[in-house]
Amino acid sequence: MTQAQHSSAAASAASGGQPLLQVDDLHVFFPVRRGPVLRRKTVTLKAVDGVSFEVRQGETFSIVGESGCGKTTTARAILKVETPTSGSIHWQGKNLEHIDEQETKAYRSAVQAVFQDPYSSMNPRLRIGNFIAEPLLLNSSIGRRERRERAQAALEQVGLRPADIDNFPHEFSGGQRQRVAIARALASAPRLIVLDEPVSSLDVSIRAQIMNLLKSLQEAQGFSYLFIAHHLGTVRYMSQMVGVMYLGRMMELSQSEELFANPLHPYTRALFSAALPDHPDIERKDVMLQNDVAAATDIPSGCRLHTRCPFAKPVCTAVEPEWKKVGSNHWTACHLY
Amino acid sequence: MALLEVEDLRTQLHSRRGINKAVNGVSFKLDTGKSLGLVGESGSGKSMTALSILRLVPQPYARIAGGAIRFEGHDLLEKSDREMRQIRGGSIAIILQDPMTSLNPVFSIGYQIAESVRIHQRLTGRAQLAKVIESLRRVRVPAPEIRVRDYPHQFSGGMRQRVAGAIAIACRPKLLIADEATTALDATIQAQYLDLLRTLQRELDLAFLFITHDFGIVAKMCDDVAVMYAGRIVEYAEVREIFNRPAHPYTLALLEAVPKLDARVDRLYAIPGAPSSGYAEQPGCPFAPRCALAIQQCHVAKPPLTVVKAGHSAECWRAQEVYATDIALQAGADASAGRRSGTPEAGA
Repeated sequence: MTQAQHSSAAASAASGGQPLLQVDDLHVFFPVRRGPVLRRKTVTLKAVDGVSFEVRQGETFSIVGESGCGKTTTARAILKVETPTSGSIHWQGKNLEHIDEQETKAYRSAVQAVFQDPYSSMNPRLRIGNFIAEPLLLNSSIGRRERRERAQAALEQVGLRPADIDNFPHEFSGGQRQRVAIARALASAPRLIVLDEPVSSLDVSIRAQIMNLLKSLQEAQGFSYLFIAHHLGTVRYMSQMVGVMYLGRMMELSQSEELFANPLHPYTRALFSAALPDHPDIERKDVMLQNDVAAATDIPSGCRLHTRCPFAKPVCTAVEPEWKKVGSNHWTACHLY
Repeated sequence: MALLEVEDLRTQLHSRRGINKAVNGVSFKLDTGKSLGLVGESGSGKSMTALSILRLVPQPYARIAGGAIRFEGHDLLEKSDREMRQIRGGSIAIILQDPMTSLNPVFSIGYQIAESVRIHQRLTGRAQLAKVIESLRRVRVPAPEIRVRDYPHQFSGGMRQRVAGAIAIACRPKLLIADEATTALDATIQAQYLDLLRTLQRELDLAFLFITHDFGIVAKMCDDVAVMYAGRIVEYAEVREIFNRPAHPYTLALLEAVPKLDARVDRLYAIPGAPSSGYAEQPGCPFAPRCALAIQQCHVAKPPLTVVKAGHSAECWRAQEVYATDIALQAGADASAGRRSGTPEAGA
């Protein structure tokens, strides 16, 4: 059985929720040219190398992992910015590869995104009203006036004044800009919002404001979030389900509280050990990894963590571990279990 | 005598908008072999304090308007530019956030480490190379004899930051300033790097000044903590004191605003508003407009420096009260969540 069949069947049974988005055995590869000019070769960079999970209605699914693990590429494939090399993404039961233009438009307004640095996605010469209402242009039945009204309503939902609609991006602080980016996502009444490191560039006191806002909006309107982050405390605060990625693959996937209480995979445990302590008396030294991350163009044989894992056995270098169910809502791929 | 003693430091930034009192009367001491964390949000003046120590404040906007910075007993503010050049990279070194911007892409890293050895210790030839390789070995770069000829792009992010560390320690500084030095690194690489810094501190008897926004770094690395807000140190204490019994509402708020790894909270405390700028000076406490515990007095008069316990002080009208009671800012939150009292378990 594949990773997806395992996780989706059991996970839906456990919560009773319907999967809104289902990712099955997703692969996203990029060709990269390497080497000296005359002997240049094309190698394959495996950014996402067989990832499966699902996001259910009203729930936050988080992906954690270090830079280069493929979490952002996964998100970009879901946003239809990147084309999967293989595997599928289903939205409410429909394969995204096979939907027509009309359905694609509907999908693009139902799935919105908020990124780390909102300023880089704003045109400094456009008033933020235009920025917020831009996704609404997809829907030709919404007129100019309604776009403006919706933008104002969205601004109010994120705690800004409707009158701010005519201001320019530079007139806002970092935290306010992130609110504006969230308002843009809200304007088209989405079902799923992809949040890619939405708070990591913000000041500590502003982070809590934005996270609380995101939580309140979810409780009030039932959005699903795909939350991508590297800060584990933030992930614990935001999510119901968490997937841990390493070098393009899911290492462990679990209900959030279960994962934090009982992390199994050595990589997850290493991430937890590396996390900065909440208090000076906390010292985490459970699992320390050796070396640096291997290159995504040259993924190690067997378990891709074996070059860094302190528990690596001979079998780890030869055989890719199977995806196993280890708890009612908990899966991992490791030869130790 | 303290290794570094900053007294009533004032650094101002002049612009068309007026004068920004970025550092507005900062005082602290740092002993040899100890670590001090300067924590604050952007604009709090923490980086400007560090840059003032090295006289690297942005010219011509910034001006050190007053105070004293005594290093080994000598006031750095009275040194000539030439003397400061000897001190920078010599007995005081700095590691910045992004090594890719501080390393020159067209020179080998060996050449760049050698630069400081050449200038400060006047070593040449084989002695110079030996010194360079020794520094690389100290920061645990594998195969330093070979890597010394490599260029910055041939190193990973974590290794590049180690190279920056090698440059910093090459001339055996007494004080190392780390300005958000690990912020750009991945979690596992950051942990390795911080462990390395601790080892170096022990081996070389270094004093550390950590400039950070992250209480996690403080918890892991520092002996003492100074919390900065609007150009001033609003609270100063030994690290466990800060976490167990903060005396300033701003510290309390920051600690409650960070989601914990070890406990699930339902709602974080969010400090309302945004950090105040150093341009407009209010009559009262600069934090008062955002403070959940502010009283009338806070808005009209500058709070005094209150010593709540030997070595623990806060600039707040209600410092004694905040220190003495277990206040939770977030309604419904457990007052002790995130803070721990009683006997701490021994570190494994």
